[in-house]
Amino acid sequence: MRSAASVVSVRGMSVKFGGRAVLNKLDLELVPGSVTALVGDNGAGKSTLLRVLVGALAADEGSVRVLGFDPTRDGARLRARVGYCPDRFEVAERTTAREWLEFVARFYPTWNLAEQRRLCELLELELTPRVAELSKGARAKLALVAALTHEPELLLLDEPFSGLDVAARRAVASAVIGHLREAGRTVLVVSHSVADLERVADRVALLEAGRIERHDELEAFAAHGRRGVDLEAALLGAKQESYS
Amino acid sequence: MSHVLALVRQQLRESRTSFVLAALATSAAIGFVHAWFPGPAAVSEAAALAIGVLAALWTLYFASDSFAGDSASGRLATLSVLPVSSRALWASRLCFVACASLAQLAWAIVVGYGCQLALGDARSLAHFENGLDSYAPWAFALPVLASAGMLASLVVDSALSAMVSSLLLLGGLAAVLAPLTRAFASIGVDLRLSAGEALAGAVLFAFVLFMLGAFSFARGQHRLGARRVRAFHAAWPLGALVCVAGIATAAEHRRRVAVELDSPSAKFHRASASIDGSFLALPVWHDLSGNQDPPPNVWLLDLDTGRRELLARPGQLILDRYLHYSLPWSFEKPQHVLQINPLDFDELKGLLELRAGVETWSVSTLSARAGELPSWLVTRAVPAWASVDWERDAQGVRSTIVRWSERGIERRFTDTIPLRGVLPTAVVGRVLRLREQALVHHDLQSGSEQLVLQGATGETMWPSPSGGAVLVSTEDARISLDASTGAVLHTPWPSEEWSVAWIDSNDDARAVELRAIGVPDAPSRILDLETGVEFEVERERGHGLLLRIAQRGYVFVRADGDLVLVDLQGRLVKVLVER
Repeated sequence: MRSAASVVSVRGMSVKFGGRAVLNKLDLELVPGSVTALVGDNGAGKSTLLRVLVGALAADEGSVRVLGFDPTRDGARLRARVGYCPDRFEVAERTTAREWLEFVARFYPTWNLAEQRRLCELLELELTPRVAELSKGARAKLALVAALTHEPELLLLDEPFSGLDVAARRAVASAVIGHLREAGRTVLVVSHSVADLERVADRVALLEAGRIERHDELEAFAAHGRRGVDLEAALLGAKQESYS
Repeated sequence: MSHVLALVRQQLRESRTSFVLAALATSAAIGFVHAWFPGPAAVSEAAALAIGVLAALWTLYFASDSFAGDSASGRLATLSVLPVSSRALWASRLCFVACASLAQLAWAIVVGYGCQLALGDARSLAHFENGLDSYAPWAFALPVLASAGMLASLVVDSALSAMVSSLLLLGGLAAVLAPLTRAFASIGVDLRLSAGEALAGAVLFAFVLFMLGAFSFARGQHRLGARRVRAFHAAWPLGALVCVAGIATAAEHRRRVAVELDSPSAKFHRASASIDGSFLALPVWHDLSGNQDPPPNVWLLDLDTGRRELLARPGQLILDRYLHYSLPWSFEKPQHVLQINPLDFDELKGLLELRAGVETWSVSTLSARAGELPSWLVTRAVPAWASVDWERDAQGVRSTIVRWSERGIERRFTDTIPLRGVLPTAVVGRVLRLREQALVHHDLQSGSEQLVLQGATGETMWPSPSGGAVLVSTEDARISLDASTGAVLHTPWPSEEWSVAWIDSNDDARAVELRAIGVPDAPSRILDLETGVEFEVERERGHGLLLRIAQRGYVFVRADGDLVLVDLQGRLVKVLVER
């Protein structure tokens, strides 16, 4: 049953690479204002799912609606309302961070310079260096700022904590995503950093063998674990259940 | 539109180093031309040429770099998640390539003019401008290069690979289109283009390649910008084009090489009869006016039953190497049919061996090189006691070498043409030789010579197919002589009145064809020099075939186009091929 209020609604969606189904008859609903952690093993298809949702990859079957759009047909219009922070962020090395943000700003009518400044200060991101001079963490911050500054209705984050130092991780987890939740935005975040996910997520979706095996409230998900109440243990328990 | 402009500006900004380096290279190249070439005219023309070459080079480079590098580095994937359509992304790259190419072209022209103003004069400037004007029509190549470069850039990972690939692509298409053009030409559709049509065609072709690139790019974007998907969608229309062109070319090639005996376009120039006169090996040419004639097919005709069979397609008869008569065949000496094209004798690779029986014949395939052919497949005008060879010295002078193996004698006749200047006769040790306006018998043993005919003109005589007789020209007549004895065979024919030629035959017959000179459409006269029988035939001159078959008669193409056999008195025996 598709919820009319869903920000993301995926039904029976499959994606195949060279005949191998990476995502297989997957169903997923994201309600507005939720912060959902998408977890699963390496190669489970988490990044692939995000790419489908942002329209960078067409599903082989099934239906996908994001903010009411078909990502394949209306990708450009959809991406104007979605913030996507990819796991791999590559831009021309000689471009400065400021030039890149100025370039990206041209594509978003809702670009908010005040928000850009706030985020840069929060994440301690310098805008004057060339991209070639930026550390891995600084590049991740730049990608995050580019994805957030136009105040998207839906934020898709693929490993946003990767390469960040502890302070930056806390800033992203609490100040950034927490701020989005308070603003009623919907977030789907992929990460292997369970501690960070616990800090920000209110729901957890477990992706196993190309399907969403469990999708539940964080507390309910954690309480399901056999060996404790923390998310990490719950995840391990859920995996063992799915294997047995 | 604003998104496209933003992307173009960003691309231009990211490529500013390439721009500067390209501009410097252009300046250096044009400067080098001015320093290297002597004289104002040469400098100006070379500079104009250099501008054209550089414009093509930079267009190809920027087009080839439009996607390849960004795709490999992941930058294209980053751009792809911006709120822009794949069409806009593609269009921005196209605009960038156009801007970059035109900017480099403009810079090259500016540098060219600058060098002229600084180093040249009014004359050299005029030369330069004329040179630019002469290369201007080639500007149509720029969009073609750009479209091919962009298409290749979608498929490979680096600009250099894309440059090479695009050149291979254009070369491959040219290789396919060239035979296709010929194929169309052969059915009367002339695809050769005027300058204006070529320009329009190039623009259209570039447009098609651009669209193909846009299509493959958009399809690839649906799969994470997958290069494999792009390559597939770029390749299949080109593959389809190549296949269609290939099939059309193959079909046309088949049409060209397949020629039926009954076809109105069939031409008969040569034939070879079996020694018993029962069978005729008949090469048939396909006469395609306005085109290079394809190689012939060889058919075998049973003259008694009318049965016919295709022997080789394409194929050609081996003819007498020196005199170009046919070589008769029999069970003992099977006729070999050259099976392949080109018809260069030294390229001989495949042979068909015909073995004709009373009611049936068989064909088997042999292989041999020209140098391995038995002597009877080289010529039949040389008697058994002798062998003939020739060679050319460093100055290009040709010598005929006659060997008398039994006596171990070898005699070299300098500056002669084999068999046409020196001909071994049926009398052992005797050679008929044409020298210094005299025809003489030369004795190989003693070296002595005996005058046969004084007053011969020219450097050649015309031996009959078996070499038993010759035709020799004098100041005012053509004379037929027995090669061995020197006896005159017929009253000489006045040169101004008659054209005389031996009739090819499968035996030792001495028959000539006479044609009255200066009388258009005059019928041919066939004269048997041994029996004196002479008659007229209405022969179609477009077909060279006129063959005497043992005691059965003559084969030729009648004026109405039918291939006929007439008896030795000129009476129709049979229509062999009705057309």
